[in-house]
Amino acid sequence: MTNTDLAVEPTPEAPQRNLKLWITTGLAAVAFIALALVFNSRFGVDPRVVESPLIGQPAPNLELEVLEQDAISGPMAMSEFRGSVVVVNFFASWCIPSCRDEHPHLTAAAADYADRGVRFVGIATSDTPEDTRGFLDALGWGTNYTYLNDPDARAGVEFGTFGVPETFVIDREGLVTHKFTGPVTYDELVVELEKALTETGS
Amino acid sequence: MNATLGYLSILAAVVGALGITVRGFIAMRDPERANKGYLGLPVILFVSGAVGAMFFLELGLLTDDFSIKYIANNSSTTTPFLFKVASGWASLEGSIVLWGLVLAGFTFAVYARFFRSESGDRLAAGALAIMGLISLYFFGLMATISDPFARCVQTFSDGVGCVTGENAILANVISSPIEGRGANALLQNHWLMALHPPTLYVGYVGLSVPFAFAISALLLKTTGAAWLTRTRNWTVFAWMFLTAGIVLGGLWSYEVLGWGGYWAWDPVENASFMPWLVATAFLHSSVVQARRGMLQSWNFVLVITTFALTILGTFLTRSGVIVSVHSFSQSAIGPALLIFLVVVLLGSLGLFASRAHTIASSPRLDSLSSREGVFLFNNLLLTVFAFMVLTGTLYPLFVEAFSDSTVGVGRPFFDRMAIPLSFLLLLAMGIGPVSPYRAASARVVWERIRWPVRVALGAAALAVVFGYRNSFLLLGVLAAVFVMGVIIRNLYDAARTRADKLGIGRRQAAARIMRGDPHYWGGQISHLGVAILALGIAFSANLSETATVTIDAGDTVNFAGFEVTYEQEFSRQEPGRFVTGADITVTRDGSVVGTYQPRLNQYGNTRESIATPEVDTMFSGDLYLSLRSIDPSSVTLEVYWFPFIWLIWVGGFLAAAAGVWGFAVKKPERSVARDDTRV
Amino acid sequence: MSDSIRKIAAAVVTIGLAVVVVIGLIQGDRTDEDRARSIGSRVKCPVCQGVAIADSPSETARAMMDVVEERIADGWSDRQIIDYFAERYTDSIVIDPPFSGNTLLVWLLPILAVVAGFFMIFSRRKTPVPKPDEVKQ
Repeated sequence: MTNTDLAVEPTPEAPQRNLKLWITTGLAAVAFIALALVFNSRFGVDPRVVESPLIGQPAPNLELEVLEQDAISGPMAMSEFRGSVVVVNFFASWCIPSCRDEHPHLTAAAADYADRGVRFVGIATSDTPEDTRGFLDALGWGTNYTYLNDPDARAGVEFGTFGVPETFVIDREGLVTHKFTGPVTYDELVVELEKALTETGS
Repeated sequence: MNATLGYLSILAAVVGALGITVRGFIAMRDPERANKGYLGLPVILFVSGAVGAMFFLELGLLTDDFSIKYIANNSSTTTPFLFKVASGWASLEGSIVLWGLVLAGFTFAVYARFFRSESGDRLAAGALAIMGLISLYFFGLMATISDPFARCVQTFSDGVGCVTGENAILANVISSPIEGRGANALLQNHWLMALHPPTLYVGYVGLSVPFAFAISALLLKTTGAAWLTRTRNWTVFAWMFLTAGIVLGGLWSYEVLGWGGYWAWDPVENASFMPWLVATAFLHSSVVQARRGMLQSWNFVLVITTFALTILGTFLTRSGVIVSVHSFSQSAIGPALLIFLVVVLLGSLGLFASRAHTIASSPRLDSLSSREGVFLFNNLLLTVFAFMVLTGTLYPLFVEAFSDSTVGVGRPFFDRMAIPLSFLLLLAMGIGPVSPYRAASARVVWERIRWPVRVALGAAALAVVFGYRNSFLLLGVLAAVFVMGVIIRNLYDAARTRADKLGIGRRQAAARIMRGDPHYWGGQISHLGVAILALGIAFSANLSETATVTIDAGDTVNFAGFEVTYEQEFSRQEPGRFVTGADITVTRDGSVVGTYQPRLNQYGNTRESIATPEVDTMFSGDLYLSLRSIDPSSVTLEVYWFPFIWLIWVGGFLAAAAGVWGFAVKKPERSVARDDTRV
Repeated sequence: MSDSIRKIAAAVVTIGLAVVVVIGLIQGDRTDEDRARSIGSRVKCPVCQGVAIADSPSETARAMMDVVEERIADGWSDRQIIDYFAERYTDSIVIDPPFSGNTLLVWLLPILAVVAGFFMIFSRRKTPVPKPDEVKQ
């Protein structure tokens, strides 16, 4: 959108005009190539994935109702987990297939890391307790797993989530060390858990 | 079967496009060959291939041929007929097939129009070669990385939809899913979605015709006004569809998305708006070249920019580099489109620069206060507008590429920039058409705008008297009524003079005047449409009312002078979707305005429910009800009142339709003088 | 009625109308805009695309609007509330770029384009020669 030729002078100054023209053309070409390079740098990058500014920051402290198989118990503050490495997973029964896909990975990791003091928290986002229970009854309730209710997505806002599933790793001091966007796998989780455990651990 | 025949059609189109390119370039150098016979065969082959590709894709969709990956992932047995058809272009690969079909239509039209009787038309032969080159690129995409007919070789575990596909001819193990995944819920929610993309594509692709002629003219060094005047009607035609497509998109957003808005400055809306702005600038500046011989090189720049922006728009929509309502998932097509964009830009720019010495230099402007002066001002405003939209859309990408930080640019930025630019454009729209060419004295211009100014002031003063104090509303009324007043006074004045001179009725005189200069009056009708649209925006944006209300069953709440009552919940299974809704009765002063059923639709393939808002258009405005959540005992609704918002659609479609006047109305025989000869 | 009286009457009416409009503009009320809505229109809905939280019907946007309303009640400033979201979602969520820092350029570029364009138009002009405008449109 360069206004290249509005400035073009009439014939008497033809050589000067050509020089000017080539300069503007050259500049425009450079601009196009810069534009192309910027676009090129975006390929393979999902624009929806934004690095969380919470990394290295204290995790938000939330108070949410605890969802159990046959009851809902009073609000629980996330700060109660302080001192342990915590995995916070945002999920929903309506999130198909990602949340279903990652579910066995999360429960397996929760079981395997129970004796190393890692606590798992699942936050059911924009969901009703009945639907969440249906989801967990079908796929299995995790052991070493606390399920919290977040019917109006407020916890998601505190953590700055862009959707479900998203998973945060929090270290013993309550700082966020990593965020996974989209379904997480056992292997990916293990890498981050080991990091969080050694960093502030033993 | 469908897949094989479809893929063979694509191959036929590739061969045809190649033939058009090669023979077109030969014919361009050898006028002996620039005739119907020489170019006929490849054109027929190309057009049949393009039609065949779309035909077999649609046939596959309508017969639920899930062995084709695209169909397995974008349709299902329960998808209603209309949306099965629309699925043919609702997703990436299919949209390129439609693009190719429209391109074939224009290629054929160029061929048929310009090689009817005359031969030796080198300019048209070159243009056809350029269109062949563009076609070759798009059908090359279909034949390789964006194959719409890929056979499914691996289905999802539940047998619904397809994970991977392979080329129709090479694939040997074909596994056909038992069911398709269905059409995109957002797209199958409203019939407008079937209409919006094809309309927009006709606009986008149609702009490649003036581009092809411009490039051909540059190659031939015949850089006079021929390419411009010969493609004038094509440009108007494409512009009409682009305009209508954008308005349809707004209407779709308003009727379907349930947020009460029609324009969000979404990157892809911007991507369609930028070529519109530059094409509009081009329509105006081409008049200056035709009438005054000015802006010759500027017109090349504009037509190249317009075409490049249509490719940029396609790139932004299809490549996944930007998040938007419209963006399809990432695909291999992004880099290919980027390369095409760079080739188009650098190629045409380089060609333009190397031919610049052959472009006659323009006479200088006699005075800034003249029709040309206002045209220049209009071109400046429109290109700066487009530049502003481009900057705002791409700025976050640049910041992220060159630094670690991220920034956001959205509606508040665009609104703040667009409002002053739009007011200035309206001002130019009012003054320009009544300014004389060469030099306009203040006295003459004032004479012509005196009454419109008074009427506009009167209208705005009336609004003040009625208690409106909103500045944007008052300024909007002022500007829009002024523009309308100028157009009406202009016609009235000319008709009166003509009627007195010839002793005929004024209505008859007006009709004769409007037929006598269809381009000018087509433009004026279009301006009238834009002014109506501006009035609609001024009212609906500044006087709208909105509220989120929760109503218990049987209860009533008051909103903007209406009483809104929640009667009961209902739900039903419809083809392809489960619908939950509320029966709402609205009364005003006790008398029933209407009963409404805002709904939430649950589509099989998504968990999110998509709202179908209820919109009741009355003379004084739209009552808009959007369902947020519902259970039998209470309902939460988003209710809006948009005064006179229908003016936006009326004005927008009038602005688009006015183009018909520009090229369909034939001048009376006796007026020999054509636009391009009157310099 | 003589011509000059008609002219004067027309001028008086025109000026009178203009005065009314100007009064209306001066009294312009744009302050009654809902503060929550105005903040909400400057923050992008993270789960939708390109739409502000004030405009989006999605659940997350509703939750964020609730946060905005609570923070307003708590006496937070507009800036603080917007920063609260930026701290969680990065600056890309703020769609009203400030006229400073790394978003200064997005405002300046179009303005510079206007200035450059004007300069080019003026440089194309002949030395003004007074000319009668008998050329009809």
